[in-house]
Amino acid sequence: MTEFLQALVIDRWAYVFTILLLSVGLYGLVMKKNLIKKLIGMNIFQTAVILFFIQQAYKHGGTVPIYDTTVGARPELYVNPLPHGLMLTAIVVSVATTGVALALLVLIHRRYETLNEDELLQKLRES
Amino acid sequence: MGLLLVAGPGLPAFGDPESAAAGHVSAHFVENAYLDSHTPNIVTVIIADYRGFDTLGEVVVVFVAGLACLFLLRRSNPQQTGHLLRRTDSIIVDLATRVMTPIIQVFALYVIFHGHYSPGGGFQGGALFAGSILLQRVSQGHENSQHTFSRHLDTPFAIAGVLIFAGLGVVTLLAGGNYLQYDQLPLGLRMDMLRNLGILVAEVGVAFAVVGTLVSIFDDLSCTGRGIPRD
Repeated sequence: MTEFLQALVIDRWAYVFTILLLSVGLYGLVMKKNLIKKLIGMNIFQTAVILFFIQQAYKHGGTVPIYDTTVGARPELYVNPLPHGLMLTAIVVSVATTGVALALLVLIHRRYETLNEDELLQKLRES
Repeated sequence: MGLLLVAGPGLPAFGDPESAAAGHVSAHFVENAYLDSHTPNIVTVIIADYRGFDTLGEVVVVFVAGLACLFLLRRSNPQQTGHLLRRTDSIIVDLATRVMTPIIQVFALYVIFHGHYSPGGGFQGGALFAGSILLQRVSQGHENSQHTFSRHLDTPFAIAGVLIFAGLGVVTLLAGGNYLQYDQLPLGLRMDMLRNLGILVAEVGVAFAVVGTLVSIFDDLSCTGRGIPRD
């Protein structure tokens, strides 16, 4: 048990916060009834995934991944640039998906005049 | 959450320079980015050069998302709902946004064109530029901000961005290289400088697409439908 805690909390403390954030997002996504809150939960979930990748990129003693002639091209002295590039594009995609989701929510609200899941299902059954 | 915590110790230790993710391609990128393309910012090189095709797909995804919003929501006559985006009554907000907008726009252009040497690039600069336009939309009202950036301009902007990026690939294809292989550009420069230039053109394309799409999504969301009436 102490080994487990040492491995998790001492060596991997940053991941614990990511897992917390991921759980918050998942909770919002699954448990909330309001569709806007579900969307916010999805955004928190995405942020947790992005943070997870950025944490993977971190290296002790690494500097920003911008080539510096005084440091030279030594991979162990720069943080891993690949996850940064991937997450840059992931952020843009998350903005785009949020935009489309909001557009759909606007349409749902215009048609059914509610964003509550239960009321929505009720109205869907009635019609 | 318990499952995730139990799986936690299986991950590489935080900040471990020997972790699996830090080897292989990542090390190759760090070692070769400056030699290949004369660009210090390794992230920019990865995005626009090594993974250029991926980024092109990314830009198309953003563009398609903008189109989806457009087809779902846009009405030809958005004037009826002007009450959602009226001009602000506060003189402080009005003046502050007037002063801030040009500064944000200059900084956005700096971020786009200095992306080779400092953190930045098309995505970030484009988002900043779009932010300045949205600031105008929110503070000056939808109608008054039309001469800053017309709502008829945004989709053409996005199309232009995608075409710049894709056209760059076609040019390299015609010049005898692979798609988006910038060192084949027919300009008679050194190979690393050609790749440097190719990255710049790609970033400008990305910026155009991001500006157009973000403004388009905002306009579609804010100016259509009946919306929520004030009080």
